[in-house]
Amino acid sequence: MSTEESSETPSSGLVLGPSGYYPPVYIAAIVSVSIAAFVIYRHLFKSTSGGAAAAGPTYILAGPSGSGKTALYTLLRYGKKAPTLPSIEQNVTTNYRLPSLVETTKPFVLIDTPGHQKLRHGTFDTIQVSLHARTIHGVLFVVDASAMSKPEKLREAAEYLYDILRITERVRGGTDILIAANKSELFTAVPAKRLRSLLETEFQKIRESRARTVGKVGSDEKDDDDYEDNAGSWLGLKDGKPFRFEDLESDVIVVDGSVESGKTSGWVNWMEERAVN
Amino acid sequence: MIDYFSVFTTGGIVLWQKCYQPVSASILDSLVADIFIEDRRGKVGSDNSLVRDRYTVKWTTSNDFGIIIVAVYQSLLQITFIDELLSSVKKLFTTLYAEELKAKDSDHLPVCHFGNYFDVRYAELEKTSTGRKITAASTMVEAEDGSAEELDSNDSEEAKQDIDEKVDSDATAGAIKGSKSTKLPNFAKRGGRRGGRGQAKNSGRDSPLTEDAGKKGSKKKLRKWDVDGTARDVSDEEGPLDFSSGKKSANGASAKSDGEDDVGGNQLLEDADVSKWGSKTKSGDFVLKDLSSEINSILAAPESGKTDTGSGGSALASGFGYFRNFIGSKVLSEADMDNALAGMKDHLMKKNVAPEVAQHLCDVVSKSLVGTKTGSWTSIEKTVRAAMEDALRKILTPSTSVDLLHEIQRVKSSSTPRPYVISVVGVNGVGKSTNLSKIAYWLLQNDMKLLIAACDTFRSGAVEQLRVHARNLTKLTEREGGKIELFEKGYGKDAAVIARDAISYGRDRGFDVVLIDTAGRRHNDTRLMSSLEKFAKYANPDKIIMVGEALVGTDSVQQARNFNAAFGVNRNLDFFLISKCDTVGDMIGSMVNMTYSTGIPVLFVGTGQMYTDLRTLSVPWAVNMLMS
Repeated sequence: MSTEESSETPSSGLVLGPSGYYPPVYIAAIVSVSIAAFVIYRHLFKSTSGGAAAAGPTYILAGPSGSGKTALYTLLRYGKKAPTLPSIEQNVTTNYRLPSLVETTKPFVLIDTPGHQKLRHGTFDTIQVSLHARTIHGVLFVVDASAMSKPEKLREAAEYLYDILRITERVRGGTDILIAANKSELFTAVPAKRLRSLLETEFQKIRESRARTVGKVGSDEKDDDDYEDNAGSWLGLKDGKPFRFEDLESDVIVVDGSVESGKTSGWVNWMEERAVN
Repeated sequence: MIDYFSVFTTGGIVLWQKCYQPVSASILDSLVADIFIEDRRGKVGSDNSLVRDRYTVKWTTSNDFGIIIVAVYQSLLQITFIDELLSSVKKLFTTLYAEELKAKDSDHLPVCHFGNYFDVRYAELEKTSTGRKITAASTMVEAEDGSAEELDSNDSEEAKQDIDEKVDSDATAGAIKGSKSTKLPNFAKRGGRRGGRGQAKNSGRDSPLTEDAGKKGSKKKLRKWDVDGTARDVSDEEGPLDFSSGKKSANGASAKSDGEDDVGGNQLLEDADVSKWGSKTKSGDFVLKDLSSEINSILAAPESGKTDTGSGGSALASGFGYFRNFIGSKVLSEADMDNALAGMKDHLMKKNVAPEVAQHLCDVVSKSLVGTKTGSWTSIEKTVRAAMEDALRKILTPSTSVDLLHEIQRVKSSSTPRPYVISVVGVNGVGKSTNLSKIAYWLLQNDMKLLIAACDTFRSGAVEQLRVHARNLTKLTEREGGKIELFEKGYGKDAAVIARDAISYGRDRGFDVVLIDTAGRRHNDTRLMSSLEKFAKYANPDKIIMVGEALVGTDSVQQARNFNAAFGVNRNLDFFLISKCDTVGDMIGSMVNMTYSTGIPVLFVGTGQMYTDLRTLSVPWAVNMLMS
């Protein structure tokens, strides 16, 4: 940006200057070159930011691997469920339209993130970026409700959600989070209410053990709020009471649904409620 | 032969798959995660295959389209043509569905009716591999001038690409056909089939069919029906479609085709026409021959896109290409990245990363970037750097959650409480005992009752050293209410037996955690290493932690591998503890070496001499250190 401006100011100075040494041809050439450079710059800049996540009002799909994020993504975006394999990269569309708001609102950005443990940092970055840009409208945390009766699966989901909340809770007002209890059509599925209380007890345990964990390497040197953070043991802490989702800045609710049987109206309604504000 | 074949995007959406034998979804998921996320490659040298349990997986990727092609088959079988199948599927797929795949924000899934193509190609390769010739005769029967077909394969290729959408290009294609009227039948068949596909695509996109139909009808008349007779003079598809679908069910040539796709129908419609003018062979062969000739023409065509950009005004292009090194938006090739990668490799090796690991990282980065475009105003160096950071992050991030306290609590509060057993192993002098006592200090602060088992029965002073630690820790944590005790049996006894005794002692006395210290051993001393297997069997620790020095450098790869393999077939290391990190500054490459060679995460980092100098690994910190 600065280069264009600096090249433009002398050229305008030339036009205004009293000296007649510069033939108009030169001036025209300089002006046109600077304009061309500016146009090219704008064009290139546009092409990068167009694909970026921060482009518009954003919904982010997150959750552990195998919970059905990509399937939900295809269902929301294409209206059709596609077979899926574990995602390696994010699926992003900048052109997602909520069914009842097709005419009234601008298209949304819908981001489907990989659930694998090794790729979660990318999800955290995405949330951080769109939080920073104030484009985030909600996080759909998809879990496999049928697996939540297994302690290790519940633990994994809870830890992931805990780490997401550590990011969103830093902002005043937080971010709305929908825990989408997927696969509710299965016999073993844990109902929404029960899942909420299961997660709360698990969160309490996580908060306790995070409070007493060993500090991270390197963090004590730069002594910023990351050190204070101490793995997020501050999350939802209120008068030493056990963890409750109500104590959070973010609005967290659990809603049943199923991608398999197309029962997504609860989730879509939630998104639509958040679309307008 | 093949159990499962699939084409999917990096986002995990399956575009096309074929299942010959049911392979359970969980196996497929774990295979994909292992290969593409955890980067567990097979043996050295086989860089695109993995053998796991009874399955062998082979794959190929196309970065510019963001798709991955995977074939899964039983390891018992030797399928020689699998590589060729993968590469030809890649070429076919990216040629046939280029537009669909590139359209990022379209509101429908990329429609890929690939079944027929695959079947034909598969059958061909299967035949060639078994030694028999393709039934080339049948291919030749139709085109008496085989050479002519070869010749025009190129321009029909172009025509094909153009036809897909544009009206005027359709017209020109028609014109070409018209001009070469001598070979009318051949062309007619060809163009017609293509038209059919273009039309199918359109219908897939829900575009109004009407104008298309008109255009198509005129085209058909132009090229074909004057030869054929009056019966086919209809411009709408209904009649012929019915006819052909009847035909299709009769010959059953295309075994698999999706219910709603009219591709098969249209193809067969054309095939039916062909059989009119053509000859006596079964119509099943026509389907085969027809598709296979197209497949061959696609496969024979050079990488059209690339040659175009390469040849188009070479001087200008190269000048601009140079410019693009700085301003970005350049499509990367391996050669472009050579310089940047070589620099990166040197940089990593300076950080104590083993050459083997550095090379692997560079390969991963290069593979992930070939064919992609650099961002605006990003140089190649920057792009490579970002990709390298990503690769390092991926290696260092644990793939399972690590919360030791939680696990200990779980065992403690279970219905049958037992002590949680942690043991440390490692080479001599890396700091096993020191770091064991650091862990002990941390656990004591969390109100655990600890038993330390002195299983180093070899080095003189080892037991006394632990006794001193135990005494210090007792003093330090007196008011926190932790309890620590030392279990020792002197020198010269078998470590495995002492460990077992210590655990049963701990169970009887209600200890929460048993920490087992072992003798240091050189990783390439098979005699000493072999006793570890017995140790693992007798003590059966919940967690085996290997302590490794940050100082060690290249040898760490082998150390980690040997220790990981020493506990028998069913037991591996659980964590690494990297000690002496305060002594190496930012040269923490050993960490990468060890995690790379085993896939086991780093749990703790030792950063000093005090009991409190124990830290968990922060991946961003490590990546920063390595890239600085």
